[in-house]
Amino acid sequence: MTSTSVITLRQVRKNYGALEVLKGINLEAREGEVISLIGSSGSGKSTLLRCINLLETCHDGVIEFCGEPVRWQGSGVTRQPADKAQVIRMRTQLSMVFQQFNLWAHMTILGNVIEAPVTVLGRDRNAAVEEALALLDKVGIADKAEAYPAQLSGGQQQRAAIARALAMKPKALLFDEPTSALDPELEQEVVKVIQQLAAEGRTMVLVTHDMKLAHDVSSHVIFLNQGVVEEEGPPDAVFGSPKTDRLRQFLHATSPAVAGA
Amino acid sequence: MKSLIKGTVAGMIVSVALSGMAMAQTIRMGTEGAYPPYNFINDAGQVDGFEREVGDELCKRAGLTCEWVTNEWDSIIPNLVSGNYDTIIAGMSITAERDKVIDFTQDYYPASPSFFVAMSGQSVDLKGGVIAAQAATIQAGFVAESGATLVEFATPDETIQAVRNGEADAVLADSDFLAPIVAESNGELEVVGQERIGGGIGMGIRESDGDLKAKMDKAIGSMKADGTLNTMIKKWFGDDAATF
Amino acid sequence: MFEFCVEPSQLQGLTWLSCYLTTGKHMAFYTSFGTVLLLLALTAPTALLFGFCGAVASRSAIAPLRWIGRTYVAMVRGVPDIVFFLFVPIALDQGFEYIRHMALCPEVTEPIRRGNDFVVCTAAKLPLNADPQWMHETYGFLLAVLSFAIVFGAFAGNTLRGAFEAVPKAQIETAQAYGMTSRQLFWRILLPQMWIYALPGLSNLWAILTKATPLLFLLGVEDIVYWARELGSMKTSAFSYPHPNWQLWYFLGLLVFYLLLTWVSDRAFARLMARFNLGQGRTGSDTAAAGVGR
Repeated sequence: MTSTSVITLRQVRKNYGALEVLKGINLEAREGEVISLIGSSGSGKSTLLRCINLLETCHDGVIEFCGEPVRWQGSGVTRQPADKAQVIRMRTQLSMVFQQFNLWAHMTILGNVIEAPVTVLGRDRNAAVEEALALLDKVGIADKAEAYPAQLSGGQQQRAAIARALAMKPKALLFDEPTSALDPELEQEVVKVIQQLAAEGRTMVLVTHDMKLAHDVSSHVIFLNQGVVEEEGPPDAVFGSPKTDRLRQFLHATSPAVAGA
Repeated sequence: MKSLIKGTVAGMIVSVALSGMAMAQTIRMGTEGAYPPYNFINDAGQVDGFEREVGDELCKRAGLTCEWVTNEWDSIIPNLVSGNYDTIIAGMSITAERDKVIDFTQDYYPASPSFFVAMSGQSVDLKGGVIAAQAATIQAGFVAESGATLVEFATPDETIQAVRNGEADAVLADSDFLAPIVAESNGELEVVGQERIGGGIGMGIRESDGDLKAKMDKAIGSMKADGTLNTMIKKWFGDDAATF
Repeated sequence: MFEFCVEPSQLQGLTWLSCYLTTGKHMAFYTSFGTVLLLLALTAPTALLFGFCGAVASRSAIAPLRWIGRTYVAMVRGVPDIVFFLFVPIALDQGFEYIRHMALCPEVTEPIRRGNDFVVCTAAKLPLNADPQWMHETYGFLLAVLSFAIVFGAFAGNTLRGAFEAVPKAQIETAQAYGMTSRQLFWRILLPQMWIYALPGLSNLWAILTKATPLLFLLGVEDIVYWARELGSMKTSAFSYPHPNWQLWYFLGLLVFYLLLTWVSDRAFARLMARFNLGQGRTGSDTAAAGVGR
């Protein structure tokens, strides 16, 4: 039995001026799947992720969310989502975790976690607080609920950001290089949380430089190179027996340890 | 009782009908309040001086209610023209230049000489030295023409200060303003010259306000005729002052 | 004031001084300190409101609103203050009277502008000629408040606009990613974060506003500078309390007043800033605390 598709991208294209950064990408994330996007800087993987929750507008191609296609107006570089309400609805079901955490600086950690559920989803505040505390406990920073973001370490901030993402009870989580801004010793605490989420069967799309993480948590790995899917497949295949030279080179350059495994 | 109510109602109707006129009868008198003895703010904070007394009497004779307002000398004409008050009664000499912008009543104070005042015992070059005068006065105009270096000040008091602290060699202003200052300076200041400049002092009125001008002209005329004006001049400027 | 002050010329020393310092004119001087404080108290929030509207308008997605906002901020900033202070009250006053003239005396056919003169019908005068002096003074004072608010509102608008721009884009983008509408984003994220960037500029503006209060005199309001100059100037025996030029002492008094005012304001802003910093958890530099090097 195949599970239902949460995110589907077909022939997604995007230009920055004359430069085509996404040249017809296909991607499908089914329920419970973890899709990792790997590739060198400038390969377009972060842009692709941002196109999924419509922070960036792709200029051609189809984006479907749980079978519902994004409605567009205009075409080419002037293409825009046609229905603001649809955009907001989709975003509330796709929680994003950013490289730089992007916790709202003027709110406490607890405030950050309950903000969108209360303001955007209109959830009951007390219930939201209760859930938020449980989530903070889950990511291991229950004692930081009343602290402000700047008082936390990077790893703590990123875990708070993950709690914020989970608080939306999203259909899928989007991770944009969640560990890249962290010192190596802090990286592991975030990696653990992501591994735990993967184990829970959450649907996730993960852009990462961390090949070990991608190898460990992914059900499917996509290697992007210069705006095209150069190679894709199950993690063991992609990392174990890369078919293209480019992927081999990339893996060798980034993390020799994993490439050798 | 009934007739009383009737009377009250009738009274109200009349007063409503008259209110337009009543309002017209309140005149705002604009003065500087810094030019004794013409006009100044007394210790109680009220406008006082020769012009206050003359003005109140003129208003009484013309059947007008008067409110006194002070305004900086610099902007005293613009604010008359834009309607902030209805007359200028501020020791303003009648000149052709001003007459282009506003109208003047007949003079209520005759032309009086202007004095040069300097620190005692100094030889002052009145034609080539530095002379202080209040800005936008006939005296300032005179100094500018005379070849002397003119330094202008916003208030009359500052012109005196300029002489005392050496910024100016002498000050040129109305003799009536300077005389008491010299007299009370314990010999520090002295009159070093005098000039006849300008005509008499009149009341400035908007050019479009012909009615008011006529009323004031008439009132001034009557004060001249019965001698009250001369009495007031003597009271404020001394027995030697020029009269009508 | 005191009973023994009946004959000032007979008084000596401290008695003279106590009588002198309690004349009606001195009372007006003391009251004018209140006038200045009241002006500040009314102008600051009004200017902030104007500035806020200007800043929001200048960032609006609606083009005409944006133009109005930008024109307002740019225009007032480009013109010297003093020109504005001379122009705005006259323009406002004549504007109000013009509207009242049109509404109240339509039967008058003569033009309002006759040569140099600006003549509206008696009923359109603001305040009416027959109104008591305090109404004229209050009206003049409110015109002054409005003029100050317009001028300082433009400066505040510029400061606030800059502060809005200074809020990191990532903070806004995150709010969008979590499904906030632009309205929610504005009230929940942009506005609360903007203040920390605006506060230094606003504190500076407050200092300038404080120092600009003597301009009140230009607008026909008898403020502390007017009274200090008037009281301090030499008094001949035409006055009950003749004295030489004492302006130095009066202005020294003003100096102390303004220094005190600045000192109190500085302390107030320091506390406000500390509170905002605490609220935003910005103990050190923001990026450094986040452990991020860009």
